[in-house]
Amino acid sequence: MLRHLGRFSCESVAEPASNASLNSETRVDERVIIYVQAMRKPFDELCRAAAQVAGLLVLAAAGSRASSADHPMLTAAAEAYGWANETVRVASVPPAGQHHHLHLSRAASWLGAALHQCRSAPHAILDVDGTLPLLRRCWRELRLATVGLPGFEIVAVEQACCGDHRMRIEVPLAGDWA
Amino acid sequence: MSLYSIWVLEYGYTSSFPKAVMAHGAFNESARFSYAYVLIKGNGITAMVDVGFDNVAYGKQLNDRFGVENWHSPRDVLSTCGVLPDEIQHVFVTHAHFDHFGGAGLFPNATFYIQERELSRWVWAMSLDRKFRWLTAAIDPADIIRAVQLARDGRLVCIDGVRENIIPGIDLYPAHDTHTAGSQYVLIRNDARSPSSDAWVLAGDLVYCFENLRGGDGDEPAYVPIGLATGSQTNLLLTTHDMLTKVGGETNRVIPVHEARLKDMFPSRLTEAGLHITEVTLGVGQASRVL
Repeated sequence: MLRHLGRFSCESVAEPASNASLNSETRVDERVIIYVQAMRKPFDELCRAAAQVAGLLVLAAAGSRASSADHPMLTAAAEAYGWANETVRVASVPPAGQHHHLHLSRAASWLGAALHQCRSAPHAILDVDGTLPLLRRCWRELRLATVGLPGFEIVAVEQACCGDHRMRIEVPLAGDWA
Repeated sequence: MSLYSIWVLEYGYTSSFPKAVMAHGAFNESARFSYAYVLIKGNGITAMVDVGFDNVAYGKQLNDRFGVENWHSPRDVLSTCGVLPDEIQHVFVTHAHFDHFGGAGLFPNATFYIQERELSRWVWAMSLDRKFRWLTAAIDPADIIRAVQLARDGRLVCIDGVRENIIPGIDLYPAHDTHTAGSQYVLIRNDARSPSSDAWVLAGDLVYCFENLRGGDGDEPAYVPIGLATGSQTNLLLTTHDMLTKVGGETNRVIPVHEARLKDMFPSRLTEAGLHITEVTLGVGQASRVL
């Protein structure tokens, strides 16, 4: 069933129902849905910032002159991290979301450490060896967060070839998909 | 006397795939879509073009959510040709999408060759506003993190443009701003001559299916671009022409790895796992893996 609880499904059921007739289980689900909605953007921003750091590291490791610790993308990554970290920190977390939130918080923490390490080397040289282990830990936590609750994806395949396929699975067309 | 054997090894597939992705304009059609990589063996060298993805690392998400069926590991798939992942020395990465580069961690002794532009433009795309995230779709940042370690270990070689004889008889050609910003294709000159009269092109995702090379009308051949590109359709057509020129205009010498009908064009067999091995050509002194 998980396959039907992707990015779009959560949005489609997010509208709060009128509540008098709701039982406690439904209310719990609502809290999780609200949490998922609130955490999706910070999750994406953490992924994006981690990927930006990774991109600069790979260029540096491969000897490219295009990478340095004063690269504007690193500033952008730090800004994204700052916002996401704060949003995660103050989030209202339902019991069913605590495991997910733990991984998200850890990911933010490791990313903060990676960004700090990245820019700590002298002469604007990226500290690849010091940053990489921190980034790996961040990424591991982000990956763990994807399995905690539906609605969180690391690889943006929804616009890739297999994403097209998924759309065809979920919204069959008339005729040859009968 | 061919230097190298070339096998296209299917490692998974999607049974019913929208063909408009494979060939622009093929709306409301579907086809089987193979996920495959290429094994090159001979002349004392064991190499691959692309490495697929590590489905275990994805927790089978791709199988479950996106319709990739019957995924098998490189260890299983390569064993059908008597090769272990540890024996792979060189990997030519056509582009950085997860289904081509995601399995890099499974090849501990290989050196990977990729166009620098594929990485640098990916980084550029990452620097854009979130609204541009389509440009980085299908790239797994974990693959980029893995690439950092590869580079640190001296196992990632960034290529800038054309590289002839990267190993004897094998050339890399850029196809910038086509399927991706820094795609490349592999030319195997199997007689080691230049120009070659026994050349093969491993096209990556520059060509998805036969229709990209010859169109749908047998009497009036035409190039038809793939339906998924971050670059330009014009560049895809020009690259198609370049690739065909390098193989003397013979469309069957440009190999589209996602094309499920490839097995019908060359000797092939179905493995016990239900995956196809296609033997594009056999190098001197080597045993067939499909008979």
